[in-house]
Amino acid sequence: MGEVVRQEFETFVHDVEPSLRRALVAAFGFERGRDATAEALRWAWENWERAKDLNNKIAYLFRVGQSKSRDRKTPDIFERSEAHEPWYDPGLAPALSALTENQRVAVVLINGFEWKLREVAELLGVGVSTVQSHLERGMRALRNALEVVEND
Amino acid sequence: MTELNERIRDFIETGASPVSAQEILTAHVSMHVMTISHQVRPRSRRRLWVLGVAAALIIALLSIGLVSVPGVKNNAVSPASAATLLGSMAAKASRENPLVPGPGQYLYVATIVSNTDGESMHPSPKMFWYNSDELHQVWTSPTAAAHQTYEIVGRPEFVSAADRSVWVTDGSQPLQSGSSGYGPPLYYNVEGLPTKASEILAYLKSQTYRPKESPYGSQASWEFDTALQFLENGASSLQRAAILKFMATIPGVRLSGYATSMVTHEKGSVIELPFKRSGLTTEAVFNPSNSNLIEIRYVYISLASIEAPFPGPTRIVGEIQSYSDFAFAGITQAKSDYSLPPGTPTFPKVWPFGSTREPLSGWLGSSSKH
Repeated sequence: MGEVVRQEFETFVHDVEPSLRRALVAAFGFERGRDATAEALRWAWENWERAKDLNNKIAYLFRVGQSKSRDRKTPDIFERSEAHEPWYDPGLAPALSALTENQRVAVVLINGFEWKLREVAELLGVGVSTVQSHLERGMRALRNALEVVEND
Repeated sequence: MTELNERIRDFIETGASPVSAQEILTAHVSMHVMTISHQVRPRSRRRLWVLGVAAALIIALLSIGLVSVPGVKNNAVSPASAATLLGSMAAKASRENPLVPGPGQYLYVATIVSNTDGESMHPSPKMFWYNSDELHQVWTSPTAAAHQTYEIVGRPEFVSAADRSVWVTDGSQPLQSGSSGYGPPLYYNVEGLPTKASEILAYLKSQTYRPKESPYGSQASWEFDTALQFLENGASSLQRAAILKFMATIPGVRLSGYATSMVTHEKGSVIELPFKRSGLTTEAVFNPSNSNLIEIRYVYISLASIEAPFPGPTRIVGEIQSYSDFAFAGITQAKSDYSLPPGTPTFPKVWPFGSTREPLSGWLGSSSKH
């Protein structure tokens, strides 16, 4: 591969990776989510001519990551070592894990990373109203689990 | 953004290290290399990330999800995350024991720092390069002369297979002593350190024994490096807390995932300050559970601005240029200049310079200028 293509790919990763990783980590947890991100980007590199011209790169690669990691036995977990990271609310990991996959994606991307409802709808391949429903139910469950009282 | 949303964001953002293009590309190459040779040594430290993506290792690293690839960071990480972490550590620091020497006492600090040496065996004109770890022990006191020792510990490692070849071709002679010779150690005047973050900068600037500015002219870089140096050299708990809070105010400082220290193999959170003009990013690896500074390291982020006045190992973007691992600190009574404080651990053995013991082989695919 030439240097130009390599640089194009580096730019591609720079632009796409953060959003892709957040979406896949939200869906599958830290371990499998990062793994799926690497798998999806590896697919993009191996299919570069196709990947570079994709219309919605993140949504497409999200599905690549989903399918590439589908057969993994790793559970969707958000476990973190409290010995190393005690500043996190220990209730957050189980509360997020208790949500459905789509609720988690909606809550994390929309509330955590300020994605638009439409963007998450495209990512998940569902309608905007469905995403709105996932978001509301997810946030309600999360607030209940964390005993948070706030109106956002 | 509400507090809960910020917590969600920070939780997700810092839980999995970014996947870099370099990681994907080198994994591609490394997989190929592994099929034609099995000579890759598991201990190739600074360039570990380059071949660390060889199949078995990358799976292990990804499976624990805690190791970030040095030098490859996500620019989109919120600076607020760094402030959150530093603020949390400051709260913990304020409850920790002070490390300030009193009358008749020394502050003892042991670090293990990286060292790269080049040698040529007479009459060969070719140079070979090797990396080693250097145990640096410093005794400082506000009332007595400071002193220090340097010793190469552990087992040196050739930078590349090509460097080892040069060494073998020239007769595999014992390495010369590569121990560094530095000037007298600095006593960091921690007694007068403020306990308010807002007063730290003025204090740092007033310390005449420290360089007044960054060699690259960056105020933020100077502030970051100076603050880290003070954190490595003892202080009271409230002073350390103030330094950590001050660091959170330095423009450009950000939280960028996790890393494992090079020598002590401790995992921690990385606070970094990239400085493009220098071609390096300064990374500070902290243990967030107790505010300990585990490691300071400098990582290449660009080679364009790196000047190489002398021939040396070929550099790679993402490679760790140098590191300093914290090993131990304590207060010692001045029974003798070189007495050790209680609890000093056993350090790696000193390398026997002059012996025929062979250093570790270098990374298979690297090369150096000879």
